[in-house]
Amino acid sequence: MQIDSARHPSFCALIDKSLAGAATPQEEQTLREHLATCAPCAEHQEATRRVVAGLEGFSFAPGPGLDHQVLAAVALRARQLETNRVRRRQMGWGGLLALLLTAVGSLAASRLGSLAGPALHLDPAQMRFGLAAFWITPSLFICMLLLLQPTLHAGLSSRKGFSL
Amino acid sequence: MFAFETIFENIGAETVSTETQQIARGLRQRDLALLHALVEQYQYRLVRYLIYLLGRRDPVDDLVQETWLRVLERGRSYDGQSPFAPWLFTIARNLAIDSLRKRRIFSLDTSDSPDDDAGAPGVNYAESLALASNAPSPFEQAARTEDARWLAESLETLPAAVREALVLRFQEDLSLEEIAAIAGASVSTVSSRIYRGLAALRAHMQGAHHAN
Repeated sequence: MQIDSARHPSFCALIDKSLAGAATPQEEQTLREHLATCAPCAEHQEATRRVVAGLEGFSFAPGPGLDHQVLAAVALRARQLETNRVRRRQMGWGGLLALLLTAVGSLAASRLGSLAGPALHLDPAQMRFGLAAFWITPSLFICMLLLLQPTLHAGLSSRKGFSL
Repeated sequence: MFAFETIFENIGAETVSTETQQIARGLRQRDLALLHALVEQYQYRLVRYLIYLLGRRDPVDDLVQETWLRVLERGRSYDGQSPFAPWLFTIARNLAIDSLRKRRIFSLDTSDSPDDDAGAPGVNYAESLALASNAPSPFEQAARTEDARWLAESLETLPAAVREALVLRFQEDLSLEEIAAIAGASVSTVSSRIYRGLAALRAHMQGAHHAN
């Protein structure tokens, strides 16, 4: 049966609007009053409700074993994330410790250099250069590497995507 | 009467809020028991949403798995202030778009309708998504009633954005604002998608009834 929706197009549009949840209370009231007296529009509403009800007539059962597969993948990924978290924490502490050792070592080397320099007939500028080149710079580089390693690792992992 | 309704509404809102906050807390702690419960509770709805979105069955299982892995990884970004389902569907939608983009079967350059927002992060649900084979569509396979069988024919011809709006509004019972947030579109765009979908399905169903 074709419904004469052209008869009251504005009310037919309002029926859709009402079902979509976009009608105002005032529009709902107007629609109710109209539907009480207009059979074609009431039929239009019934046809639309039947469409919406028809959408309930589908059954999209998940594929067999999908739940089990998902739960296994989630458990595996959770273990990976936990391992990564522990590793990142260890790296962080390692980096901080290395930073501390660099500072203490630099201070000690500086003091030792100032004492040993005159005895070895070395220029203080040479001592400072040697200290910076062979102790402070490599140590700071290693510290930075340890501290930034989790970030670098995360960046590489995200580029690889999931590896389950 | 009004006061009672308000009280009940408040109680309902608080219950939902408590539940979502528990979910948010569990996701922050990567609580596997909670995730198992969520998978059981939302799996069917997630599968249904993805089938409506893609109009295909074959990539759905992989996307479902990736969605839950993403929930595990990014669970800290769920704040528990809003319902869980829209957040879950947003993740699934983004993954579906990424997956399809990798296969180069659609681009983000064009929209599915002249009334769509220009530049909205929607999808060109071009007919490239339509089934190329003669195999029954997932809608035909899932139809359990006579009306559903009629609707199935029409559903597979609708643009995916329209199907998405229909499933989120009438199956998930989400508000237009929630649907708009998921689809990355304006409320008016979502409304017009729903109207288009209803009109197409109604016309198809009436035609089928008329033919019979």
